[in-house]
Amino acid sequence: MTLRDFWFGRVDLTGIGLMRICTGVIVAWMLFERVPEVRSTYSDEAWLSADAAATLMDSAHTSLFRYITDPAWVAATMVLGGCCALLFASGTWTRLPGIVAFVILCSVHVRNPKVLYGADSTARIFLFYLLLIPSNRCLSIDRWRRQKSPNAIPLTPASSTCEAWPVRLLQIQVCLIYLASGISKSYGTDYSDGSALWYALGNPTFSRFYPFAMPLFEVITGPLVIMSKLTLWWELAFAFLVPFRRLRPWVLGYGVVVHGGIWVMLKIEFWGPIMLISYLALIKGEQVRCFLETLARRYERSPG
Amino acid sequence: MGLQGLTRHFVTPLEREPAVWTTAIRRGLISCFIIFHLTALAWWNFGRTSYATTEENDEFQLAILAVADQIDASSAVRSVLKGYIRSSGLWQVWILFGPDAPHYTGRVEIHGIESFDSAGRPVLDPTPIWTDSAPTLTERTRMIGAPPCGWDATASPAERFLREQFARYKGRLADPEAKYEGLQMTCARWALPSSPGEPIGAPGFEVLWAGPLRPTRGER
Repeated sequence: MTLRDFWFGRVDLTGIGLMRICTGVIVAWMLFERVPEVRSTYSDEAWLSADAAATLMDSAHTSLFRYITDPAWVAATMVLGGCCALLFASGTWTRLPGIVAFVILCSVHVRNPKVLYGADSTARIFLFYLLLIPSNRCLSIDRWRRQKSPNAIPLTPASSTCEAWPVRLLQIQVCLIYLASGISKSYGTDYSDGSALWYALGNPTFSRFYPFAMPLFEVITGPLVIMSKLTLWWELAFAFLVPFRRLRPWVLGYGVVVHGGIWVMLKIEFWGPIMLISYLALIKGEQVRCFLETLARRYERSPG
Repeated sequence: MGLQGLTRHFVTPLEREPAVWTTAIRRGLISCFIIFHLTALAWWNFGRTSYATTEENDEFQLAILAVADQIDASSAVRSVLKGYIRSSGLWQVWILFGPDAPHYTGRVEIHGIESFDSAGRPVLDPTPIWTDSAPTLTERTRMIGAPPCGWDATASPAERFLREQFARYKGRLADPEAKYEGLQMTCARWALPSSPGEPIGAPGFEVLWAGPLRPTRGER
């Protein structure tokens, strides 16, 4: 395979379509759940003023909410963003609602960066890449409407594909997140000495089962040490191992364990799901399509 | 193994489009964008030369935005790329619990001030009006206690925030404004033990804000 095939070959978009649905729903949820906090966090009555936020984020980078400051209008803008994210998720006029949702999401993040966490940043990043990809070619209302149209052109498997370059950029970005995180963690001591997982799981701020699970952590101290060290090496190696077909299930499988574990054990709501969703970009679209078709066949066969 | 080996698993090659000149120009432009984008990402994320220690980690997430030009050796290129990176929302590759997981936990409490003693010190209702250990709340209250941008910590944003939190719990209290002279917000922090068997020690308390109940500017 040549470099040209790598960037300009065709890739199946079924996995990306599924990723669009999940990311859109999460972005909508993130915007809707902030509406009750508008007054205290994002309006002209917020505890962090717009000027202070601009200083934090660099004054060159602005937010819609520097100009929309009335709490009611800020809330309305966020609701609009959430609705656009849902339209994007469903693949209805996909790109325009996606752009509106992206601009509003960025504005929310810039208006008050001090209440963000990892899932906010990754959702914003994935939304940007999904806007580059014609993800409405799969699993979308747009595609369904095109099929129903009287002048419909017959859909072929090739019509669910696109040039690979935006998908490649998304794949590289996912690898970059892990590489940057791995490099950062290698500067500390907790991951190399194996204590990092204990500090995360034993922290009442983050731990979902504190203090009930503490006796369990005492019993499994050894595995926690091993997993801390393994996680560091996994993050560092992720970008270099995931391109290999035979290694990919192992690399992604460990990711499912790590992010699934974070989701279950820690109160870091969307971080686990959003990173697991990103794996859909790393799996071949044909495999995702095959999986969905199998599910559909089973559903059709099931009684009732 | 060369690039071919690295890349073959990702691609489903189909028939190539005819190499007409419009396609060539289009692909040339896309290639330029790809090169620019990847260069920007690499420079932005790996162009800096220092990482924060554990205790600095929370502030690091902002410091990397605010003083990035000072801490890396590539400030000129970075400032050129800044417009693109910020507009595309790619300004932060999240570093979860890096370089180290937090070694402490915190909880924010709001107490009613029942009276002031002869030295002017507040006498608190020992039962907190409100308490929470959510990370973002701890973060925002730390901002009120130690504002990073030089605004006046006693100015209205902190007070508004406190009053809003207070108002949320008004329903549970009978005539709270008559009962209390004022409010005090405190952040309690505990250092975590280094292993599961050890107990958590006594907390350290930091008063983030204290003051009388009075109308905010907007309510006057």
